[in-house]
Amino acid sequence: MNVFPSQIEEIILKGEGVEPHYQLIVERRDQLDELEVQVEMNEALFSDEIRNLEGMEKKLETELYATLNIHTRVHFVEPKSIARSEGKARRIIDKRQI
Amino acid sequence: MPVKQISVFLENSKGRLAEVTRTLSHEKINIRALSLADTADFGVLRIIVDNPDRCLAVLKTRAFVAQVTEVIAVEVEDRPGGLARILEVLDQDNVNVEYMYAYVEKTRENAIVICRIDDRERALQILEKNGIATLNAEALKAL
Repeated sequence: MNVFPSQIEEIILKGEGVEPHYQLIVERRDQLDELEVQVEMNEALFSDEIRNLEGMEKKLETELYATLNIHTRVHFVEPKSIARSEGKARRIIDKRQI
Repeated sequence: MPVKQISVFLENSKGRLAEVTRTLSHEKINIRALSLADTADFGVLRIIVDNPDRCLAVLKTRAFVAQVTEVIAVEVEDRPGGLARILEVLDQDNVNVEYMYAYVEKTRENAIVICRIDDRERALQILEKNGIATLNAEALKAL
């Protein structure tokens, strides 16, 4: 099946607060593709309570599932941990060995 | 009186906590109490320091996501049942404690716990009504 990164981007960026940086990592495990969505933490998203942060990850996973009909794993990562490149951002890392 | 806690987002990976403590050490900021809540992927470091405003500024310059969280420093009788009494009082009035951790103890009669409570004002009123002391930032610093 096809998943368009623009669909994922739309869901991630519609959240409130500062626009977060994100990256998609595709892996293949047991013949199945797995999609990990890494989202950089920022001040607008941050909470001192773990349950709020985990709740936001779950909410994004639910929204992605509702639109794409695939299960994803959303992980918050530290700011500036996703590589920035000149011009176009490298949004997708494909680790599949097919 | 609420006191300022600094909350920091950390990825759950090697060396991240050390990066925070190295930064604070370099800036001569002293950690007085600490709690680290962790999940498989990330953690939230919560610290009480001698200079919260400077601590926040320093961490931000090092690209950490950090914020000030207002918490309460409660005096606890240092004997069995000391903490139980405080939680009993809050529970009776339906005040929920989000998290708590112990403050560094020196030679004092009472212990101190740091409490994060959503309904902070009401919690403070309840504690006061029941004769339970809380410490403000100056009192905490002077310990």
